[in-house]
Amino acid sequence: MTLDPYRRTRRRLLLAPTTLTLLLFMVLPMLLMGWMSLLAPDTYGGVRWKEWSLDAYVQFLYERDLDDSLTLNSDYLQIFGRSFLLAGFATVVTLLIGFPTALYIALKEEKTRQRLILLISIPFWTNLLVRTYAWMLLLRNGGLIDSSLSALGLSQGTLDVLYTPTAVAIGFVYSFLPFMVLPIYTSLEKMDWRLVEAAFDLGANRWLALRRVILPLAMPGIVAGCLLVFIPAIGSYFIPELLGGGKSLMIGNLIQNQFGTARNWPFGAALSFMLLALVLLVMWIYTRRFQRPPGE
Amino acid sequence: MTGNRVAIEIDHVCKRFGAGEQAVLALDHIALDIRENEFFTLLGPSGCGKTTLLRMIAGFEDVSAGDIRLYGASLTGKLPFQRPVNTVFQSYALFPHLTVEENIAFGLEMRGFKPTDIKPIVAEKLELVKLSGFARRRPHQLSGGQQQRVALARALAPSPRVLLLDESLSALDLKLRKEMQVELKRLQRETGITFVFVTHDQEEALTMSDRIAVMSAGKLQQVGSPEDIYDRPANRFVADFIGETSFLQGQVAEGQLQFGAAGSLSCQVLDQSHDGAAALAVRPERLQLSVSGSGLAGVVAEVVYRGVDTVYLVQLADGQPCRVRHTNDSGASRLARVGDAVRVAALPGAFHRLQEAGHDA
Repeated sequence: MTLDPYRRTRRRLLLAPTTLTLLLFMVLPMLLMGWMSLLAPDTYGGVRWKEWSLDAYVQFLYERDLDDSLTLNSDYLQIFGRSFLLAGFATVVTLLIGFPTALYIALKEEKTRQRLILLISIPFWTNLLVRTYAWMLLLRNGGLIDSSLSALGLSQGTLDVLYTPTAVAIGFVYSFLPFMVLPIYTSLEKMDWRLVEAAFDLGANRWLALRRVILPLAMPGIVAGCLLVFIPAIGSYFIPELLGGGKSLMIGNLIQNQFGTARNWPFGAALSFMLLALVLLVMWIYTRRFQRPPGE
Repeated sequence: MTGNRVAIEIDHVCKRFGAGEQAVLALDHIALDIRENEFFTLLGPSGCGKTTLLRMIAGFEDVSAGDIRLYGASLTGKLPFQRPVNTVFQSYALFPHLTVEENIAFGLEMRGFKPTDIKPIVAEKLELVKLSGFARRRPHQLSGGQQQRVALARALAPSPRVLLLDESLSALDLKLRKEMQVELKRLQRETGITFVFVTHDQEEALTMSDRIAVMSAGKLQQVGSPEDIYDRPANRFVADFIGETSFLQGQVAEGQLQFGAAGSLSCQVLDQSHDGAAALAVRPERLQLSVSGSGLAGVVAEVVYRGVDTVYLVQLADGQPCRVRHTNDSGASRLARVGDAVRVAALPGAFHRLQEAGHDA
């Protein structure tokens, strides 16, 4: 497409704010981080700007012994693995709860739908940090759930769920569920329900109509929902910090440690990059596997 | 060609929307039989309940009262996927995520056909609708007429006992619609399947149908062959809805039709059972206009040239308006101009005596 000079200038001017924002707040910090990950750490935090080093990436897999030999160390890989599993678990559970919820809402009348969507978005009105603290109160030993269960005679002893991966998983499912429901609802809401009628007409029962028509057509929403849950979950910091009690460390906590108490900025930067690589890989596989039907 | 066996029996079916005081009777005791292998059309203006009736046969609407039977077996309580009928939807409702052949195979897969059996049926249906080269395309890559054909092939593939067509041609442009009318008729002949077709287009109904049911405001007005409906409309609604009609008030006396100051005609009225005031319907093409000649006296009020023919709106001497159609076969100039005094004569049997309002079906 060729544009005359006037229109080209106009287009550049219109795009300028976005381009500038992206350059300043995304590309520049990323370059800075990439650069930092290739430098040596300074003793009290920060980096030695002139000292190049690949140690940060080596450190991820190996431990440097006193005699300078490298031995394999899977600690960090385990943290990555745990993060991946917890985020994956949260994605699957929110999908299993979120899809029926979205379908239920989409099948209601216009007015009811708006009311239900409002209900879904009400939690956003309170800060997530505060809501996570509320979960601590609910889940702790002697908390509401623990005491109710023992009062009903359903549990012996204490609940012991706070500060475990289970608590983190509960926190994830709770926090990210709306991010699953809303995109799926959006794709179901604009769906042509006459197609479902056509499926029934052609002999499909409810299950087959769901599997062969509704699910494929809702796929863009499902993919969006899964990414919106998985990506923030795998990099999340304060939910594992508060509900996991720092015991079941996730990538986010590890990165925070490097910039905080561990004072190893290059390692923190390297970890951030590996997280980014992991997320991009998942996104790539996912979108390739569930490509949108052409013409949608 | 039309068998005498009844395929669908619609037994005093009612449809109520809403409840209590606000309930609306969308279908009011509809009773009719649709015969095997016939092209049956439900015709009426929008909101007359024809689509509701079709959706009841398909199973998308509940029957409030009465029963629908398919070859003697009641359909009540049967879900859409349990009925051996298929629908061609007004919007086509083709699955956008499936190719043309996958769309056509869908119904066969749902009914548990083996993949090896499905392939030849799909190929055969594609050939039937003349889309053999389009198997791998997706619906959005097809034109409206092609999508229409895919929808037809998809609905025909599971060999339904009855095919329901819901305003299936209304989205097409005029020329394509005419082609598809012929096409549909051919498909119905070749497959031998009973077609139930819903339309608001009276010309479409007359062209394609073996029999037509005319509906209005949830009531059945008349059921009959296209000739019955056109030549012997049961009431004023049918006469008005199908084709062009002039309604005149006259007096029947001694085999004569009298129109006051306009004079009288000796032509036969179809129903001469009793003398007296008569509500009459007459088609414009069965009247003849002349400047000098016999017939009812009147003045031309308007002339509408339509290419094939010209329609003259004549104000009769007794004050009643009537329309006269004249075929432009000779290419001659117009018979009369606005304001000309003319005579209106009638072909034998042109006037149809309508039942009085109280006797309407």
